[in-house]
Amino acid sequence: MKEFIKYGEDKGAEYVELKSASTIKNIIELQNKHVKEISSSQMKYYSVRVLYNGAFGTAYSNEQEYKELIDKAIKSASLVKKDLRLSNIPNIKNKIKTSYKKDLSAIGLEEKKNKLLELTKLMKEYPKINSLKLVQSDLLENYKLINSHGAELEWNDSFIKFLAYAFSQEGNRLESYPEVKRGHYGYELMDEAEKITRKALEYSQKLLNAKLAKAGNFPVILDQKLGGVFTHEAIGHATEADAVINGETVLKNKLNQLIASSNVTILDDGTLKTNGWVPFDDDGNKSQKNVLIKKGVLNKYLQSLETSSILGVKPTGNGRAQSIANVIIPRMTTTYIAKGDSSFEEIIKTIKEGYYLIGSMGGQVDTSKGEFLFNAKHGYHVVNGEIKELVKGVSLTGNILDIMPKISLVAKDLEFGSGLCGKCSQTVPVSEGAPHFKIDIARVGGQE
Amino acid sequence: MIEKIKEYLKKNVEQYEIYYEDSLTETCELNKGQIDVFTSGKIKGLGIRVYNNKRIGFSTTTDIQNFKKCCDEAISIAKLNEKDEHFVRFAKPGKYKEDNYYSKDVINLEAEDMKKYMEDAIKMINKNNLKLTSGRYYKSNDSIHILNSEGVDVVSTDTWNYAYFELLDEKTGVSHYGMEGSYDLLGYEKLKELITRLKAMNVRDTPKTEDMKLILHPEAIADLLDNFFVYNINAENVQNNRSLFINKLNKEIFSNKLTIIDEGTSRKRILLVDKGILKSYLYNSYTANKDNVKNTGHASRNYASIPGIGTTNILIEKGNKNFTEILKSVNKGIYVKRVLGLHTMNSLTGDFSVGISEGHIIKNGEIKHAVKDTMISGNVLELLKNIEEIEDKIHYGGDGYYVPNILFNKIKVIGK
Repeated sequence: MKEFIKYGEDKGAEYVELKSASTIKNIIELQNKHVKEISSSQMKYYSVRVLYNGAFGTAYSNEQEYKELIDKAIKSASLVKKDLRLSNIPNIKNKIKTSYKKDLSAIGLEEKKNKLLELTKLMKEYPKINSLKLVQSDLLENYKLINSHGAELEWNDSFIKFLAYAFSQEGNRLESYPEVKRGHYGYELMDEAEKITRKALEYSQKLLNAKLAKAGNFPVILDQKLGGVFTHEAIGHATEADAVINGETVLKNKLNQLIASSNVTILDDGTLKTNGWVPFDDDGNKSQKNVLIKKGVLNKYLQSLETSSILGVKPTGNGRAQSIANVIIPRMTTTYIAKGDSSFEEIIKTIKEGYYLIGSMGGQVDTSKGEFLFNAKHGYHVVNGEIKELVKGVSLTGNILDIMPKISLVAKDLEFGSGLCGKCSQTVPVSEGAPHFKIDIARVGGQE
Repeated sequence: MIEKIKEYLKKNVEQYEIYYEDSLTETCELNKGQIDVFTSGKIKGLGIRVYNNKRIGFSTTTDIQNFKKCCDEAISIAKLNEKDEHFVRFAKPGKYKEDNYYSKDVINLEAEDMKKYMEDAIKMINKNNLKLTSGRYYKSNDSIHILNSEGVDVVSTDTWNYAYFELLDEKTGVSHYGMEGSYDLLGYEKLKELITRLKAMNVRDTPKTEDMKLILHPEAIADLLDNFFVYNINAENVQNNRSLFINKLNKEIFSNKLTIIDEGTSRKRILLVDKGILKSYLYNSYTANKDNVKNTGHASRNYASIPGIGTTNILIEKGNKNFTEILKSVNKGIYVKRVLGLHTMNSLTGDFSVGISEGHIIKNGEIKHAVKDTMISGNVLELLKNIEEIEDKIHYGGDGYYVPNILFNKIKVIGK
């Protein structure tokens, strides 16, 4: 690949970056006891990014034709009037292999299918279940990046996902409950498949008898998964430096200011080997542990190579793209609230009437207005410090700057979830985490 | 190359289908009101489906030279699949879509033209004292070659382009986004509308929590249909007991004011809901064979996927009153144009509670200030049973939905 770097430089590029990605992916989907889909793919992609006359230009193809791609990238960069000067360009050399216990390529599709078939037998134990969807997919990827400053990076990754989606019925009432886990592991993730499937089956049935939550303003306690999504949506997105540069976040001009209660510390750590793990980002920068909010004070924004060069700060290892064909923008990795000093039991006792919200059905944020919304999978009504009946259909909305000072108690029991994050039409795997924590008052959307 | 693939499959399987897609894309990203970066893409992709011993197998690749590996994968996957009693054969000639969405002007569009379009858009935005914070112009040109053992051998060419705008009103700090999209050259109609809508959000307040009347804008209706109706009417979900519409054919599911029609790729009008009564599910050939009904032509796919069920154009039949009349009839209500987070709703029960990202208070028949930090919650099924009026005009709500404004009798608004 190196000879093409020289080709780009000879053509006048100030910076040349070449990438390749080669993937083998399998998907197995079962519908009850029947195979709905088994498919495989073998993909190869090649991409080029150049900096030419102060502007980036990028091009990609399924064929290894770096010269043509460099020509195209230079041509499109020449259409853009910009004066970007890169600083802190990565030059590290590293070869990384995701560690795992069970090699995905050593297990055949038939064995993987039979494992799912075995799991469908669990349905019998749950009488109100009428349908169960199981999906197991895995991905082996070889990713290479070299640049004109000497960076030479390679990552041999192993990635697996397991989803159980249970559907239940009682009379005319239908319910469903999804449970998923994904991450950089080998086939050993499937050791947890029964536990994940049982959770989906159990809660799908339980929700048939759950009440709808009351709408209004209440104190709430969030579990680790929903708390993680809260952290991701309400804080993470608003600290991404592209939003700061574009003036699209309520956290612009707020560095070193108190924006949350002093018992809140929030981090983004790309080095953690969770779903959001990146040994190096797509700019070639090493990932690191970044403190976004330190005891309530906004400390740092998440940077890519481009945004850090514009803002004159150091990169944070958060330049990410969905694939080597996409533009690199600042993204989260593993974002979480650091553990506090309360306990779950203590927190529940402080609530006179409110909700304990569990799990996440997803969320959305508008960083410019600071408004966010997300939906819990289920929850419990809390009355006089005691957990009461199961509720469903409950969502939480609010404004970032209003709600952050209202986080009053943070427990010690930090855990991480595994999710997908969408931004600018690109999806990347992330993790989000939190201990149980309390928000003194929040807007709860229910139907009653 | 295709010939070689065909020869290889002929020797090894009973039936086959080759889906070869050659796609060229050009993307122009904008940031801070300026052209930021162009990306050109060129991808050739191959999807192979085989049928052997009553079993189907599928595999896909972009490594075209290595097509044998892809074919072999599909063959070995077929062995793992169950016998498929509902599969008859791959489509016969004449069954593939003929109507291409194709524009020569879009094919000839150069990066310079995309730049010019966006620069003119920026001028228009700046003239209105607004800022373009980020944006994108995307253009694609796909050539799809489908060839199968039943004699189909068709090539179709599609074009598509869209411009996406994210605008900010610096005075109020409020932003809004929207897009122009077409297979043909783009105008500025949606952008002009977006500018007007953003300017109308200059005063925002949070209402009290209470029930009131609701008018949903075509964009919000499209979002609702996409997350609720299309999920439940999908034949695959019905066949797998995952739909609210199981056993509801020819039964009343919505208000008798509501008629929903699908105009699919085959340009056939299919009545889905007739005056509140469910008339048909959405089928592709597989699910249609299983229910022993006619295929409604709703397969959707690309080279990297097997045919699923998708929609193209969904239309709600217009009503009798014009928008002003409908508005005048509302003493106290909320006009919701766009919501936040509807994808998190429970499609199976219809329960939803979502944030309002663009909505206005209606007082004595007039649209007043915008709302902030406000939610609406309810049940879609209940909502669609309680329609008061449907507007006499149809608008494009995005994603292939053509719908009027609709007045509902009651919604729970959660504010202060």
